Amino acid sequence: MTKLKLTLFQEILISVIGIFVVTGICIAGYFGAILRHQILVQYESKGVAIAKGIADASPEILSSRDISLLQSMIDQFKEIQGVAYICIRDNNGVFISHTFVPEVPDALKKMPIANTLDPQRKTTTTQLTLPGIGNIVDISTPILIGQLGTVHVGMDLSIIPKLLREVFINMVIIIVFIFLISIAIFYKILSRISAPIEQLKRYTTQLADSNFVASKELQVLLKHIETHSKNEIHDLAVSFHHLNQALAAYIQNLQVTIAEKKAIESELSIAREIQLNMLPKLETQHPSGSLIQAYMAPATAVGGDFYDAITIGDYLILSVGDVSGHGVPAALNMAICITLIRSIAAQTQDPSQIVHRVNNALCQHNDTAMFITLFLGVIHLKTGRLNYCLAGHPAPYILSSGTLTALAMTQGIPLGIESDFQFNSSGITLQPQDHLIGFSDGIIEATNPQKELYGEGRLETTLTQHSALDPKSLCKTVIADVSKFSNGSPQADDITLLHCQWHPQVAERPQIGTHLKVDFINDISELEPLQKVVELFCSTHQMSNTITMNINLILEELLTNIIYYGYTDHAQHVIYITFEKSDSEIRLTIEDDAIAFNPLETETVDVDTMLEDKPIGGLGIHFVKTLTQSINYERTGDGNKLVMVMSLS
Amino acid sequence: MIGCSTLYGHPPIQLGMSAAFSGPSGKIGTKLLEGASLYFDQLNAQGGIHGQSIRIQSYDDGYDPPKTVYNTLRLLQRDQISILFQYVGTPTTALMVPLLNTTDKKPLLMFPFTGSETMRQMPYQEKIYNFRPSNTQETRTLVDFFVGEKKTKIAIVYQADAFGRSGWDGVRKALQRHHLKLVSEATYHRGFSFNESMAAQINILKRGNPDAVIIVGAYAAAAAFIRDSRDSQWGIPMGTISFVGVESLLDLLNNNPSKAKKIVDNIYITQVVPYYKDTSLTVANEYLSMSKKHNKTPNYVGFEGYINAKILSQLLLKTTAPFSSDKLSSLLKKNHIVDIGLREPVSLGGREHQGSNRVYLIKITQGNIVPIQDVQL
Repeated sequence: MTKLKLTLFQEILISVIGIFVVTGICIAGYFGAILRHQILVQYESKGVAIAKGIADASPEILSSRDISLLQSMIDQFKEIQGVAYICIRDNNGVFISHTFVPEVPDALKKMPIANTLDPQRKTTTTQLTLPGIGNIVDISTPILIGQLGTVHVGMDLSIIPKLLREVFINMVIIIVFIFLISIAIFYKILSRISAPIEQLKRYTTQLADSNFVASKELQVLLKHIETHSKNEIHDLAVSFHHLNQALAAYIQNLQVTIAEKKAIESELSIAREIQLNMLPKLETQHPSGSLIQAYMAPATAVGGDFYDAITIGDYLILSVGDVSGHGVPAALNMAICITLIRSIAAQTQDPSQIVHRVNNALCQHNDTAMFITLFLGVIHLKTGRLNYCLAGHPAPYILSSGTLTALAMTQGIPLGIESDFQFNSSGITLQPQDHLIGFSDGIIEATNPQKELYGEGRLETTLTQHSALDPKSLCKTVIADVSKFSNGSPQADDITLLHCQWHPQVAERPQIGTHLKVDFINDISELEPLQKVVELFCSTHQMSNTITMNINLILEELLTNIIYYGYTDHAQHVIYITFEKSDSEIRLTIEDDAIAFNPLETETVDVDTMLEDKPIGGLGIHFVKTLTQSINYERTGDGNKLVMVMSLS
Repeated sequence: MIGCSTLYGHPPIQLGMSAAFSGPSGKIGTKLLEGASLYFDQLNAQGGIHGQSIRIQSYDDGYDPPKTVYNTLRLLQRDQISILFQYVGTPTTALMVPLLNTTDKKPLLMFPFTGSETMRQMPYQEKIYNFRPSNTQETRTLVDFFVGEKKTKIAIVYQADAFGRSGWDGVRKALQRHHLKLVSEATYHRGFSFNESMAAQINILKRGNPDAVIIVGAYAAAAAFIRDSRDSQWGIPMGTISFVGVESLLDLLNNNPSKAKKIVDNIYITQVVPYYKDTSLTVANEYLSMSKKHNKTPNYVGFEGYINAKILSQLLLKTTAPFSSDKLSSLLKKNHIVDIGLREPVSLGGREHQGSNRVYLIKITQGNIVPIQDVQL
């Protein structure tokens, strides 16, 4: 029960103590002052009454009888509470009767003797402090209009504080008594209040334990409180009932929402995965030879920023883009954009052309009025020539020998806004080891808790200060600096950084000997690698262009035939081609596991016949036979082996 | 308490006595009762008053005036006693005396041990018969003696009550006759015990540089004052009056372990009865032999009690049996002279109803009593 009750009780106890103390002090102060005044008045009038009584009785005694009777009389008055002394002084100043021991104090002896002829003499009061007696008020009354002397009655004032103290103590006792009774009553009332509260507490506790589904027992309990309490507790119980119902409904709703949110989150997570997978993981040396480092941190689960670096021939095509907005819509647009760039760049390496065509494509289906800023740069890997185009995107920096310069702006607007817009391109020639640093506005617009922007100035400073670092370290340093600057402020925009250090592409001269065996699969796309291998082998051994072209022609023809006609199944098969060069000739050997086919058995083709009428491979084989010095076929087991010799002269 | 059974068919004649039998003045009441009893016992043994024995009903008031009033009411109302006898003290008796005039009993107060003028004046003197001279007479004897000895600068220390005031007034008036004034005065509270200090009072009196000091007080206070004076090398003559009870005073001073014992000297005390060792007096001889017979130490107060008892008895013998207080009253109104063996017969007549006007002055030398004067006032 009792934690609740104790707390309530303690609070009320403290309040009651406070009220009692304040009330007590006020009452004590107020009534103390009144009482003190009243007592003083009463005291003085008591003293006056005594003095007058003595003064009235004195003439008879003084005139006719024993003075000791006077003493006897004042001794009796002296017994009255508060009377400090009584004395009677004759008009010669002699104290003819007094109650002082051992003598009359000087203060009284020195009091002037009143003028006996003054008929107006009245009772006077004087406050005195007498040694050994204390504070007194002296009341003097003339006897027989002052003819026979004066009666002095000293009233002890020290009795007033004593009386007040007694009153105060009694008052404290009464207050404490009332206080204790009040506390007992409060305790009783609180017990009555706290019992249903305690039940309500049990109700809520059990309700929370049972996942806010009220059991039968709990419902009975609540009903009981509702019926048996008439005051605010009843209202509270009703409120609890409503609260419980609302809570249960809310929890149910919440559970559905949470499930939905989980599903969305799961989808978003997949989307993010897909998005990140679309971006090349450029962390080390690119096949082109340049060092490329990229970083992207989306502000939401999926972002609208992207970067790309693809090699088309001798060209390295770099892009950094920023799709307006964030989240899934931006990510989808980014996917469209990156796909467009890749496909268009395969056709042309002119940046303004690429951007122009991407823009047009985007404009066609831009119902959501989304736009994209883009930097697109094309580096000729051999020469270092950089042509670029800026479509409303911040200009990247060139860091050359420690000097940082921003690329000149080109005429351009964000993509997706205006179809057929003519984008200008610009260009510079990079020096070996020059850095190209592209970024999205998420970096320069990063804010700290003071709402300051990171800005281009800080980016430039950071880049300049760390110009000696390699792209990976520099990239890390910039990101770390931005993070430090933000100091916990939430990231408002996606952050993307693309860093490329150009190294001139050196013609690759792999150590290719006079004997080279290469394998291919039965896929037509293998023709391209085949062409490269041929070019590589021929250039390595400094064979003439004619021979190179011929070898290419021969092998392409034969490989095509094998891939197209050599297999009846759709499984993958390996085809080996071996190059052997001697001083005067070159020997080419093709080994495969295709169906048996001897090209030598094909008829010699009449070159004049109609193309359509020629048998399969007829013309190709013809070229092969014509261009080779000798040709030899053999079927060994399941395989074909065709050996051709060409003269180098 | 005293007295014997009814021997001859009449109830005993009861006397009521309220006095100090305890406290600082306790010895006065005890000795006074003792002295009276010596006489009554002897009288009762011889047949009492016309066959009626005399019995004293006594209550202790401890020298506290309200108690005296209470005791008196007990005596008058409960004990149905109409003759009050040998009350001790001025403040005590003075508070009680209005009862004498306000009850139907018409009681008489016989021989109170007080020298207060109240007992000798209107409106009470009608119901009161004194033997002893008044305080005024005693103090006048002392003052006259000191002045005669050229001790004109007289100071007084007195009890702060009616008794002290009566002594103070007596001394003051006696001095006025010599055109003198008190040089200094101090008071002490009633009930002062011998163990308390009188230093404050001594210092006050010394300021007046007196030649002699008169003490109006009970024996304990007087002894304390004398002790402290002598201890402070203040050896001037000191006088006091009979109320102290000289033997009680001397008991305290002589048994006092301090050096004061050596100088219990130069002290003058007035007495209202002659020296009990004065063998020329019949009554003194009777008293001495009775004391001896009952193995009691004779003393001034006891002697006064003996005298009081004898006077009362002689008066009662003049009435007819059975005793009534009315008979005594009427007797006293006409025939009030009895001879009890003092130098002259005792007359209770006169305006003041006072049996004796003779004051005896004694001196204490080396702790001993030396009668020096006998003054008929």
